Amino acid sequence: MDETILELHGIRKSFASVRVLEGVDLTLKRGKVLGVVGENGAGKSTLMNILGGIIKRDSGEMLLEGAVYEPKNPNDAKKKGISFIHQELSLFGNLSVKENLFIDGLPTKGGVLVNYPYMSKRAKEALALLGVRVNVDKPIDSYSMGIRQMVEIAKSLLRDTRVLIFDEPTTSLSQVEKEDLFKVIGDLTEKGVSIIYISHVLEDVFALCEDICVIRDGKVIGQKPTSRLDKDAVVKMMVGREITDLYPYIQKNPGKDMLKIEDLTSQGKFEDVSFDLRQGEIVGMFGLVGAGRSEVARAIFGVDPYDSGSVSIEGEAIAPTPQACIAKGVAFVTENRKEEGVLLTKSIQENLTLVDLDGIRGKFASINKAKERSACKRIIDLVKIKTYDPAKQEARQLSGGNQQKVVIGKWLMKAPRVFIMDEPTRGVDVGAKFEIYNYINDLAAQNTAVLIISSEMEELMGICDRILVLSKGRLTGEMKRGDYTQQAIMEYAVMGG
Amino acid sequence: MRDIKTQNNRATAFLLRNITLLILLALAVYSILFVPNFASLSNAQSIASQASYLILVAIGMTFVILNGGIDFSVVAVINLGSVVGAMIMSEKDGLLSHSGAGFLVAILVMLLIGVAIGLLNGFSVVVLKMPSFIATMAVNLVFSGLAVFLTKSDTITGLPKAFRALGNSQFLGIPVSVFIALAAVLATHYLLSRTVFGRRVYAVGTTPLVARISGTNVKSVILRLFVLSGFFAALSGIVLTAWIGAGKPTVADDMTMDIVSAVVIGGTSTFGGSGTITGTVVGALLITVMSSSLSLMGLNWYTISTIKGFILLAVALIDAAKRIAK
Amino acid sequence: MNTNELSAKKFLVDVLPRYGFYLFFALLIAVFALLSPTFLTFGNIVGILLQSTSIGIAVVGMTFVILTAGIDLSAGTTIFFSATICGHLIGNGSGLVTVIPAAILCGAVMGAINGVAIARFKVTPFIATLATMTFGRGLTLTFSQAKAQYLSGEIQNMLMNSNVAGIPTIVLCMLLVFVAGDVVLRWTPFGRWIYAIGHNDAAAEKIGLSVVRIKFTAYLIAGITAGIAGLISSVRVGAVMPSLGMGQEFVIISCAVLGGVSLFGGKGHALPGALVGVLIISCIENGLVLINANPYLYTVVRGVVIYLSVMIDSIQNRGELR
Repeated sequence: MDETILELHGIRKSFASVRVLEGVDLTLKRGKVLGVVGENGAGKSTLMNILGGIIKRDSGEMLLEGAVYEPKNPNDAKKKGISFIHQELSLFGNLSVKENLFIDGLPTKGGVLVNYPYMSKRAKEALALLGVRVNVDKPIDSYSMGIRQMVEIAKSLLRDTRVLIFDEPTTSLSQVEKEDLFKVIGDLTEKGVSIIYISHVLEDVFALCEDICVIRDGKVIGQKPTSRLDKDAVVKMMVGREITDLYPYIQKNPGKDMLKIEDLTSQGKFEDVSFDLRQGEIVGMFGLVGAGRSEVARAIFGVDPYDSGSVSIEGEAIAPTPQACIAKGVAFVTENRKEEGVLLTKSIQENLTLVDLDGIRGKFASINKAKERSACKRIIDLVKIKTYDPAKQEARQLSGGNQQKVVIGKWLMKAPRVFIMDEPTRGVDVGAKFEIYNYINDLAAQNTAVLIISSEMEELMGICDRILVLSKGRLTGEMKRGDYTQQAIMEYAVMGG
Repeated sequence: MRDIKTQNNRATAFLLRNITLLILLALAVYSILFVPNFASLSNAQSIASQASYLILVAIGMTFVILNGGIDFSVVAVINLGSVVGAMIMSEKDGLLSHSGAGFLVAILVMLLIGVAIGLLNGFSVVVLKMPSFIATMAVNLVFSGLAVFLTKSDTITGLPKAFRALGNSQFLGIPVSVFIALAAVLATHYLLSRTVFGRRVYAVGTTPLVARISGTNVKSVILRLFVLSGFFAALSGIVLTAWIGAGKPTVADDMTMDIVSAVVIGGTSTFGGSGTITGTVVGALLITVMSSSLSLMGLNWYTISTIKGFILLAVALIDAAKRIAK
Repeated sequence: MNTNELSAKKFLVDVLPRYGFYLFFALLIAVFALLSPTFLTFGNIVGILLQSTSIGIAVVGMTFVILTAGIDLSAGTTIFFSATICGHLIGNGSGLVTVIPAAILCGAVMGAINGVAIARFKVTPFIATLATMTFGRGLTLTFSQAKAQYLSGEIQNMLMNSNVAGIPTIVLCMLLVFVAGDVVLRWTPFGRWIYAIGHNDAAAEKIGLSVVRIKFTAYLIAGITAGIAGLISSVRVGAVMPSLGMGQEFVIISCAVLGGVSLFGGKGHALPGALVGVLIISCIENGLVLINANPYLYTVVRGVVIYLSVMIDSIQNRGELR
């Protein structure tokens, strides 16, 4: 009989008033691999963060080997045998492999001097268990991602880990490295380590896992043995929602080509991405973690460099800088509004006017206060930002939804011809979301070409004329309105690549 | 009940925001009443002159600190400017000693030195990506050393009367330098608070990435900040050289602390993104009044220096604590 | 499985800059040796080493601070503070037994103030140490009434004239401090944590290292070494001038940066790096004297050296636009 090592019952978690987990039940068997699958925002990360001691659950119970498990912090979780391999590895590039393995508990001779020979020996042993033979004395940044990940795994082995959680481990791995990882996972399970494997690459999940747990909207839709599932069934479970009329769609007649992206390539991030945006069209870009969507958008706008390919508006090539793009009428709302979208300590007015400062110019390079006030008022009314005094209230005092409206608002000041939005409704309440959809429609009605990057499939299906799907840095699919099915879109998104 | 409470809160907030000004006023009143010789015309004029050239260079420094950096080379700008300017206009054996307008050329050259050094600093920080504190200090060593080298530590006297008038003549009993400083304050206050460039400066100092994505040329803005710092340091050097009446290669050597203190005490955060010209003016006035008052009370220059260092440390701690609290 | 190292090309890009300054050092020696016949004499070499002891010891402590991506602009003041106190004690007849702990204590006090402000309150390092630099100097001058102090007597004889096989004891002390510093950095957990924090203090915090305590200790160490440097400086010169130590922090910093300790943190070593940096700077100063360079140009040369070494550091290790 398969022994259960970890049980989760009714885990609930809310952030502010947003329910993220609504009673999750999960069972992990000893020495087995459990695949956890779900869309972005389904609640997988939150669940794992609770398991790993990073955040606390609101209610529900966790049992580790029959005993109540309530980690106070990540170190506590580690001590109880639960290790979490995050996407961003906590490694120090300037330190050697062996030092990284022991950094939070360096072994010493006589309590004072670091015991390097012991570290070398144990490091080599731990890595050998994973089939890795490298020079453990070299700094870790001279090694590839694959090796670094192995080092992170080795760290947890040194700690006598019982449960190992992987969060999207193959995003930065080559094919060879992936195969090595799988072999390691196989060896680990043979030795009795139990594994939770979070990934959106369904082929991998099916190859590795004995059971698959599908999470959607903070609930477990089902946990079943892999043998009783197939890819279609899993995809269905991931997306099986009713499409309600939450999304306002208007019929449009897209005009001429506005933005043309050709063979855009950035090594390691995306490859040969080509698509067009037409005037008055709303195009969605869907993809799962690591697909490369934000990277493509940032490359188009010149925030990050790209290696080859071209970006042009109405036939004219644009230089890859934000200024050149803005001059040609391109607007870009990034994914990360707190660090890239809004000046938190500045007033709403200062934020709104940042892109189009020339538009409020007065005499002698000054700012015409009257123009500023009226321009801001226009946008505030248009986008419905709730503020008591836009000249005084700081952006950080606003709710997430209102902050997002400020970011969108500042780009609207300059009547964009092309508007790229990366996760425009993330962290935004339902009411504000609807408002945002409405003026995206307004934009399209005014002949703006709109590109919406989103992890919410229904949102894109609801308001877009076309949907592009990216997977592992490549454009794997394109669908026209009328042909949309959740199944098909998800299949494009989970293509191994 | 609630109205009184909000009234109290607003009063407290007002007090806190203008605390430096209040301390300045309190100190001034105290000094006028209790410090011997403080309330005399000559002392007032002396304070006015000293405050003027401190304000001028502190204005420039404000721009750089607004970006979270610092400019240690202002001392070199003043020193080198003083020396080179004197070498040009000195009526004894300056390069243009026979020309009546020699001092005009000297002024121009002094300003150019400020701009050139500012460009060098800007290049070091923006293109070479060097930390500003050490790049500007290295530049400071080079050009201050150059100033000493050029004069072999001597002072150059014989500056034309027309030039010296900038420092020691008066208009309506007020030193001319005050008017120069006033003009600079008005101009830069306008620049920072009312122009497009000013907005960009604040945006870059707050979150450079947001500014960049929103279309601001961050590198160009930062470069201009250092040029402004150099320019105003040069302007300060002109006034200072006129005041002491000679070209002196060590004239600004002890000024760094006062300049940085004036800016930081004046409310500009060392982390960037917030601060005003008027704040710096109040800070500079506070430093000057304090120096005068304490010195008239009989304290040594080094004791006064200790107090200033302590105040800077205290203000920096408060600034940092505020940041953590948010 | 094979070792996944990156290409040989990257190896060259990594190794060459790291050891480039050894080449520079060798070149420098060659140039000065050619320009002046007395450069490579035993006496001159000992002289160079002797001249570099005080600064050299302070460089060891500064290395700890710079490795955490911080800086200590108050080193010169600490030297002055310690020299003044020690000079005073020596003048009153105290022996080494009192004076050495006093020097260490002086340094520790300055270092602790810096440490609290920077590690605990998160004040920007250059602002905090600029403030303590001024504050400390002023306080010391108040104590000494800004007068010069002249020392004489036992201690001077003891320290200055003793030597081992012709090498002055003080120089051996400096080498000892370097070895100690290097051992701590390479061979103790604390040292390894310094490197971790300098590379990524957020990740260090995440892993559970006590970043505040470690940074505080780094500033404490920097203070202590500067304190010892102050003692040596006062004894060597035989006097404590009110301007002692002014500007020395930048010489100390440039020795470290020249020796490969990156201002951006996490990179560089005390031995051989920082020591070579000290030697290079001392050779340059000594060489300038030997070739009868204009003494007014010394500051200029120092400035150029600092600028170039930081420029190379920045190009290799890229910083933010501040």
